[in-house]
Amino acid sequence: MFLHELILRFWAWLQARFTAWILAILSCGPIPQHVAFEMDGNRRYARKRGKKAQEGHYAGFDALRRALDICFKMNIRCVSVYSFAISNFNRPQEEVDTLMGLAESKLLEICQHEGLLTKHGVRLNVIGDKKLFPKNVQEAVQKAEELTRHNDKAIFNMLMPYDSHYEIDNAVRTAVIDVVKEGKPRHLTEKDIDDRMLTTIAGSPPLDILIRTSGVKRLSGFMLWQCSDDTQIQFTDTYWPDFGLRDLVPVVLDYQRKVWSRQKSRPPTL
Amino acid sequence: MNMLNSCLLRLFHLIYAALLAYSTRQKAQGLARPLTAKRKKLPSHLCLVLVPQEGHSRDLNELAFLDCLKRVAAWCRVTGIPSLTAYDSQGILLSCSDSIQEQLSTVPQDGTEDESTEPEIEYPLTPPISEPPASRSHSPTSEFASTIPTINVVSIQCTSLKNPRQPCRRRNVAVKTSSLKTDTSLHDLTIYLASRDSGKPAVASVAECLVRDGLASPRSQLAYAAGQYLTTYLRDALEGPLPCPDLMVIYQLGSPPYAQRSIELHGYPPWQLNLTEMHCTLPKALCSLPVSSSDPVFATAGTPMIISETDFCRALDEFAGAEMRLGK
Repeated sequence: MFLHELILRFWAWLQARFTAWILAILSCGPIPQHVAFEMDGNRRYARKRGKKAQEGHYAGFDALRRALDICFKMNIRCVSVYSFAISNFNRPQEEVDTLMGLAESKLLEICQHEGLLTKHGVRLNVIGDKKLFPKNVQEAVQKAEELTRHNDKAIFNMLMPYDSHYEIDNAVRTAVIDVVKEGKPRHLTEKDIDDRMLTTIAGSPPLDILIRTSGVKRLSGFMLWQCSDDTQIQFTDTYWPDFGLRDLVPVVLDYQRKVWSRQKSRPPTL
Repeated sequence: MNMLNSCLLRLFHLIYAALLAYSTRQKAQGLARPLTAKRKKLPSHLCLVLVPQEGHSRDLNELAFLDCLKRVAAWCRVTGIPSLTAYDSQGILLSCSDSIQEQLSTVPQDGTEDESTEPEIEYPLTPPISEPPASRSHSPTSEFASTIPTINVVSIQCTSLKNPRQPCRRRNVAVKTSSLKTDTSLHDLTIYLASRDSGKPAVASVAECLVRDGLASPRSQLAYAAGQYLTTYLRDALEGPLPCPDLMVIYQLGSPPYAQRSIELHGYPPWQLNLTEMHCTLPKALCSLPVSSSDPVFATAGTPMIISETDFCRALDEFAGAEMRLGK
């Protein structure tokens, strides 16, 4: 029993050292500033193992912790995740209740002292139509954001409940209200809309990489505005609860190839 | 230690490039079902994103784009896909919409030269932007704005002889119709030409119209301030001229500047991409044999490659296998 525990601890230590070494190697090249995850596949992961959807969501949260830990250790400045879509309220009530419970308990867990976000100096932003949440979740969100308000090393955006059309709609509305308040018409540009996107207001840099797991090859209302220009979109067959370093390494390598290719094709400055 | 890690990173990249090349070759050897095979589902609106070959002249890229569009339009008409958007970020296609009309009217479905009727241009029944509200025939459902945003999209109707020409249904856009003198079993096709300006700048244009209306009307100001969502208005204003595609096929002319697994959207209008399935065609070696070998422009090494029927069929096969859960 003691030997078994010793072996497990040694294996965990070895894994941690190996991960740190891989991250140190990757960090010798360009690192993306903003990565977004569309965490898809929790329910299919659970069904494959003969378990309930709720189990898949708990496993998905563990995968999120792992992914965040890796990203912040790699000095990725901003991570955004699609935690809950506005259309997800159409799911069975039992599942929605589980997700709301998960949001309420885990948000505070990662923001408190010794929590993941505090450890890495990460500020939490919850982005979305928050008034759709039950009151207890709204309070948990407010408390969690307050706990990390002064962190300035990195940003973690949880998009929930969110939909890109809602975000674009909101940006257009606030741009219009702001200009109407000025009292005179002026030419509006895409920058006026971009400056009012909720992720921009939260201080997020431009999106470098968007990853969707589980093999689905569409965006389903996730950061449509942010990823339409200069973003690499990666679709991976891995279900989100299985996502880890081995899935992130090729994504970072692809990004580095893009940056180096751009640097090669630019004329040298005198 | 840093020197060692840097060398190891280069090694990672070498191994990754080799694995990517192997995986691409394996996928290229996979069979695609024939064009006319029965598929579980077909897109009702396909979008072709054309990415120019870097280092090539605009004219050469334009010729290649036109050739790709001709082919894909013909395949859409054979398979029964009713709508096709052809997009390039720089607006090369939009700038030669007249030429596109001519090209489409001279190439029938089987690729052989044939006669065709002269293309006719139907202009919108109502004048552009500054018209008074009463004469408007199609505008976004507007409890908000009474002026019309500028959306830079051209639509072209391709009908077979047995079908009467469709009336113009686009605001502020000339609709060019052409009757192909070909087999009447070809399906009708509506082609939209779009560029980056049809996307984010169009959203800004919609916002500008709302500002003009807001300044003119206190009722609108109250509506904005009350936080009423504009989603319906935005949807009508943006999706009216350019509907949402079910399937996006991204085609890079020639070889991409670097081998990659990821895809990029090249500035495609973001509002329309909510539920669009995305497919990127497999990269071709720059110096392989051209598909359209009878055309001297593409017979030499280093010139852009044209999309092949296999590329198109692979995209349809992948789309047929996709599952839609819509948030549930």
